[in-house]
Amino acid sequence: MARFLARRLLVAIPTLFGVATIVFFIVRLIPGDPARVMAGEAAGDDVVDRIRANFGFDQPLPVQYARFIANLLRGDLGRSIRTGDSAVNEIVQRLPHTIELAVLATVLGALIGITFGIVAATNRGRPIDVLVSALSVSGMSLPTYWLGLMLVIVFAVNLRWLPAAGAEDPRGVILPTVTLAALSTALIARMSRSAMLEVLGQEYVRTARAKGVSGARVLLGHCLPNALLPIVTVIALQFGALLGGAVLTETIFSWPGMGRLLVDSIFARDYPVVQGCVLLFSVGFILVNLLADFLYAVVDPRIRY
Amino acid sequence: MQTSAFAQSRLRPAAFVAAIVFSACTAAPPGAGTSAAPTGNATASAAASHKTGALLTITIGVDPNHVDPSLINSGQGSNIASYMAETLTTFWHTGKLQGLLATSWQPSTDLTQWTFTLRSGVKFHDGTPFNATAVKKSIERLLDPKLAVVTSNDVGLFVGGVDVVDDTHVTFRLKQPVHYFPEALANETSAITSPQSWTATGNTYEQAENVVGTGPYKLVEYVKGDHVTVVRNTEYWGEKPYYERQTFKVIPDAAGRETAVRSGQVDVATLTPAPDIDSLKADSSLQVMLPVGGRNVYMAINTTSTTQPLLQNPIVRQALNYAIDKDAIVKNVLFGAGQPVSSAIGSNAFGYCKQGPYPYDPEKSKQLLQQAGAAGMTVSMISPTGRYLQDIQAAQAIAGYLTAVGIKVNGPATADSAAYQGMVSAPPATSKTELFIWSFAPDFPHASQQLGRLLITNSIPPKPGINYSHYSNSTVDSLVAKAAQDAPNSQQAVDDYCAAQKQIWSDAPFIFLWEQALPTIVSAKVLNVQVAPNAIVNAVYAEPK
Repeated sequence: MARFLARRLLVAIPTLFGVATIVFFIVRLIPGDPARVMAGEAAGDDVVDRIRANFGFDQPLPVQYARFIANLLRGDLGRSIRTGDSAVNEIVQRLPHTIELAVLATVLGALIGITFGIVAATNRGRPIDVLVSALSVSGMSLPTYWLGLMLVIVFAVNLRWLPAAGAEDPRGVILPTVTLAALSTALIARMSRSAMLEVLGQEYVRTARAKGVSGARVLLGHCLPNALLPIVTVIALQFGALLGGAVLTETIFSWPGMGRLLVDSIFARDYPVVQGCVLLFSVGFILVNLLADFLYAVVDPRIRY
Repeated sequence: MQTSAFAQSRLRPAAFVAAIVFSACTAAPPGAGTSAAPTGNATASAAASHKTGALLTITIGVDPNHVDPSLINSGQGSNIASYMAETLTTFWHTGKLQGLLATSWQPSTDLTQWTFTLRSGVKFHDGTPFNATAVKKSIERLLDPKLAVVTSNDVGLFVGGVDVVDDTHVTFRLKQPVHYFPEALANETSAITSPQSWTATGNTYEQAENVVGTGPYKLVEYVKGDHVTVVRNTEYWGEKPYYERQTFKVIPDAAGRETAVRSGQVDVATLTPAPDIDSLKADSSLQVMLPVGGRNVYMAINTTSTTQPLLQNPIVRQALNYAIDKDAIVKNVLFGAGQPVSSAIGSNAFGYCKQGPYPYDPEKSKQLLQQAGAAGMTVSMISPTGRYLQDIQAAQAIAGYLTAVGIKVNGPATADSAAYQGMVSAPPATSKTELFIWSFAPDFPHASQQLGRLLITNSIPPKPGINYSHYSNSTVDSLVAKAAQDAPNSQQAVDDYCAAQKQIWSDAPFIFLWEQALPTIVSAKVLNVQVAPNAIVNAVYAEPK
């Protein structure tokens, strides 16, 4: 296991280096000049030039790239052009909000999704199965911005139960969590249903039933653990995607997370922060995949690395 | 309900004194100015008739990025910083220049040295005294390229040095004569903060996270991307505000700001979607303000275009102006959030003189195009999306009007704000623009800045400036240069600026469109929210109903 982890971590290094290189050049290919954005509409070229020099953008591209990689190795992502603060700092301030939302949405999605999946699988072909399938399809096809706005109109504007936006009020996390969980729930419910159906047809399930094990124990003790593998994969992939920041949800609910930081930084051509965000997302995905592999071994003792 | 921008304005007694002193000082010969020491005692009795509130929440669209005024580069950022850190002069409360931390000022005869008398007895939030040394250090820090963010401001452009005369007098040495220097100092970047605070815990000289000024509110916290909260400064030297706390909440989505104010989560929302103005007006729990600020929006014309040389002809450019129904655009595209532009500078600026608007006259337009040999010409058009209120929608309408007079329009093509700025800012030799939406909101309402940055030969790229029409007229150049040396606020200065505007109007480097109003929604439970002349909400003295 330890050898496996070490090998996977080693493979991650060239991956991250590749990501860093690609993002470095791609952000610079987008038309638009960060110094001019920052200088404001009234500024002349004198100010723009000073800002460029200040951030080293007046240097030739290979020099900038060498500096970027050298700094990266020291854990320095550079300074945000928008705020003058270190890019690491910018990200560290936003990351907890994104993790909070990702964890809550994943937990909510997993709980409801797995429950729905089990209910649908055990009632295959009955109205409740059709209902769960219909809800899953809706959950997957509802555009996030539409669902988010509807939730705001109902729960914030009309009922006034919950805040419409922001992270200041602790209750502010509820609506974005529900919005994000809708998609996860739908995916997890579908995956759980099909995985459970597969397991329910197995011989050992029939054996368990035949020897008089209660229905609930058959489901949770015999079926679920064996159905868990694909479900864990879906959950891990969803979690990884959510860690990348949910741009639309964060925008609708003014959630100060990574998604919005990335979008704001792209609009301002804030290269250091964009690079930092993309690198962090890559690291996040690599770690979440590792975690999933690790969990496979936990839920399925047959798997050995 | 619609409230006009400045009708609600109230003068603080202390500022009122400064305004009187100021008007006297313009007429007095150099060296003769005296300062009337404000007492501020009159505020005590007036305060009794005001209700106080616990918290006012204002939602804004963009993160201020900084609270340190020296690093501010956005209008919203200026607004928030101004609660905490004050400038020597201000336009904030009445739209007219007043003293704030200065009580009077006096230029040398050649307008290259300006001496300011400072308000005495004022303390920074950290208890250190506000004095001439603090002014000198603050301005020197503003001009220091070591700061984390470089801002563009006229103070940096002009100031050669700052001298402390005595504790309450400070002299600015300018690199050139500037008659509007006190106006330029009103820019929030020139706010004075406590020098001691720059190295206090949490701050660095390059960037102060905890801004310590003299203002009516003190910083509680700034959570990046989410909110800034300020608390009332009980030691404030002037009239004390009525809300204990105010929070500026960042909601980037315009519809999100609207739902937040409709849900009662916030009390004030700025820049809500224009198409919803009518339905918001119908809501009796809300007040809709549509203050017209200093921002003029134009369809700029590349007057040196090589891809469409017909645009070099002023007659063609006039024809384009006659082709557009500005009133209809304001009514149907902006939903009333603006008024047709009537000169090359904002209508609230010093030196403004009304020239238009060009009437909507498609027949005349066709006739002028015919006369200039431009009938049926082809032009390309670009527009940003969301940089200005309803920009791309208006561009589409304009393309329609131009088509109606026989012009073939390619576009409008769009680009995001940063890419757009790159396209329009190319110098004439490499520029490929023909028609493009462009706009400028000056830092202070004065003809000097708007004409100087936007319409003189020396502001054509790559020279410092944003004259992206590449408009060049020697009469305008010499009038603007002359006006900068006229006596401050004199009729002569007005006349010079006026003559320049007249020339620009007939040369038509733009299709003159509209002066933008900033849709601002205020809860009916809140009184006295004002909008500053740069169209920024000023709720320092808001009070509960």
